[in-house]
Amino acid sequence: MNEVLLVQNLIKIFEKNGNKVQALSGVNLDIKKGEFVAIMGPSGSGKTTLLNILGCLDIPTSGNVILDGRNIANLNQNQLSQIRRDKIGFIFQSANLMPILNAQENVELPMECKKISKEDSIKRAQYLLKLVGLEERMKQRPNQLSAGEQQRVAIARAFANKPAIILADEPTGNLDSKTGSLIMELLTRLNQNIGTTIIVVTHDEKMALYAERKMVIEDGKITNTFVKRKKTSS
Amino acid sequence: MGLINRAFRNVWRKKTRTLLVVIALGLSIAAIISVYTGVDASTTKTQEMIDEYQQHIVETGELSESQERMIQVSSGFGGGRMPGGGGFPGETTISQDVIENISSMDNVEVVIPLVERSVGQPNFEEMRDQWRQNGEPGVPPEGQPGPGEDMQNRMESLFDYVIMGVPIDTSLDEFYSLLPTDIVYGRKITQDDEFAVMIKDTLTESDANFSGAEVGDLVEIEGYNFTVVGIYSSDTNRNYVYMDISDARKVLGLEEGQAYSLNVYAQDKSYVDMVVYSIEQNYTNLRVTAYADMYSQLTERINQQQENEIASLSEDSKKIENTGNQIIIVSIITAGLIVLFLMIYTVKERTKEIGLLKAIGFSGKSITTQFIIEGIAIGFLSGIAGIILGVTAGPFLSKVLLPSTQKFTVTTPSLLLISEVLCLTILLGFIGTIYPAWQASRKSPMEAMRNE
Repeated sequence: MNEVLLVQNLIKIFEKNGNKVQALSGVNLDIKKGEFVAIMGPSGSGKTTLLNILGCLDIPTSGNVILDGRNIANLNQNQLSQIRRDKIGFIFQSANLMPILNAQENVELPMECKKISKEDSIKRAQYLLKLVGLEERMKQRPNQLSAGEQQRVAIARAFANKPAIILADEPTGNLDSKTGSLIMELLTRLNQNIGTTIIVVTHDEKMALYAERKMVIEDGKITNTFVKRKKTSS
Repeated sequence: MGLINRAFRNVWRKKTRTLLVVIALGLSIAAIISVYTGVDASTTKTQEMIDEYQQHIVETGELSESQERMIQVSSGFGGGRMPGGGGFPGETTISQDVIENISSMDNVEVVIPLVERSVGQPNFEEMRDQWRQNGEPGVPPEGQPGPGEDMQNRMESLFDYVIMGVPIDTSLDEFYSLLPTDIVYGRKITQDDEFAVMIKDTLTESDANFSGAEVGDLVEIEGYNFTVVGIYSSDTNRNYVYMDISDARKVLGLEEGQAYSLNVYAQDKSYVDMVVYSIEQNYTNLRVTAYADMYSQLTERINQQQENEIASLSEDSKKIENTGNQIIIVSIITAGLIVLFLMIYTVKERTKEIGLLKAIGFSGKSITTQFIIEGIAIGFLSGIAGIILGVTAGPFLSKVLLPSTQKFTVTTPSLLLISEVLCLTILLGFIGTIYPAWQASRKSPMEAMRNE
């Protein structure tokens, strides 16, 4: 398996009112293509900061982040915007769907900024919505969908531009445990079927069990890594 | 799902808010249209009036060659008489001897005696005393002779008509226009006519004495029957009835050769002052005025009045224009601020959405463009609402906003104005959105996503 993401000695220091706070203190990790990784840690451990840097939403103070062979640590805002468009799919705690658009149009949205033709984007949106089990709900507006359905639309949207990695920040945080499990099962299935690398940040131990590898972050450092034992087929 | 489609959907998303903003902006736009059309109507009408006054100034500025040589001599009323006026009951006469003496003076070419008398009103002195008692304006103070200029002008309209006796002499008439020339029916009086008159066309409609009179009809004047030989038209407000001076003397009980006033013509305009001086020296009881002087005073007075009117009109028009411009500027600023505040609020409200768009790869430029399209869409919708309101209620609104335009007819705004206003609203939508859109494009996706 090739490495899709390589992080070397990543440091992030925030400065507020003259006070420096070190959120990440030399994070090192490597994630291979097609891996399903969970990053866990207590509140304030630096997991969201790490995810923001990996998702090109923030830049590190120092260190390297090599995504799909390109170091993204020193890119400007426009270049980061392009990387987000082409290489990364986001799933947030809340679905964050555009209320004026229906489910299909929400999934088409990332393809619009990649200048994919209308015809192709409709086909792909419909395909992805079918994959997440919403083929009957494509024309519904977000307010006509349940929280679980909205999150499934958000998942389909994250896969729209065929990203190299999917970054999910507490994707089940706003859902009940049953719906949360269904969402995690869906992500596992998509990871297996499509082969896209998925990194999930969560503080929920049960949700982290769906990942192949679990990393624990504490005080801005990866302290432990657990690899799930693969089931052997008889 | 393009940018434009999404922008219009976003505008429509908050229907009530959009509707309220469109109404508020529409009112500003309607105010602009109404005020503009009101000011336009005022300026156009004022310019027409100014042109008319200016034309009048030019018209009153010219004298004929014979008028430049003319001197008016009158007997005066009880010792005084206003130049160019007169003909009131009680006026003293000029005798034939005086007329002959003036005719024989050096540098005098011709003396034309005139008998002019107003008919149909009570005694002037009684009227003057009554007006003075009532404290009416324009009446000269007690002890000052004559009717006074203002009072004389007012009295003109009160008399039924004015008998004007002139020498009937074709050659004199040819040079000095003694009889009116704008003849509507019939002809001028000739030396062969006896008891013939020329009457003003308005008299046939207004005065009972001449009502319905036609050429050839007999009319009665102060107990004498006259034949109407001509009906003329004139701009003057005096209703002159022209007749031979001999007939006028009979009607008014004057002796042969007597006159109320004289038109004395000097041989050349350079002699006018000398002739005036000679007459004044010899006949101190007569009022002598060079027509050119009188005319120049009159012209100066009229022109002064016209200029005052023009200045007053221009000032009024300028005031209306200034007020109008102030209202337009306030309306434009208000409209711009409404768009600005709305879009700032919209950006703040949709911070998370902006964050999401940036997170999934939309550039700052795309986000700026989307918000600017939304601002333009609001401007466009408001422009349409404002135009509808401005066209339908414009004349009413302009009278409310600019009460001074109430005397003008405010027309429907032109197609050009409508197009300009529509462009203005689109521009306001654009300008009002630049800052909020720029603000939106600068939002950090991470911070925007955190916004609740």
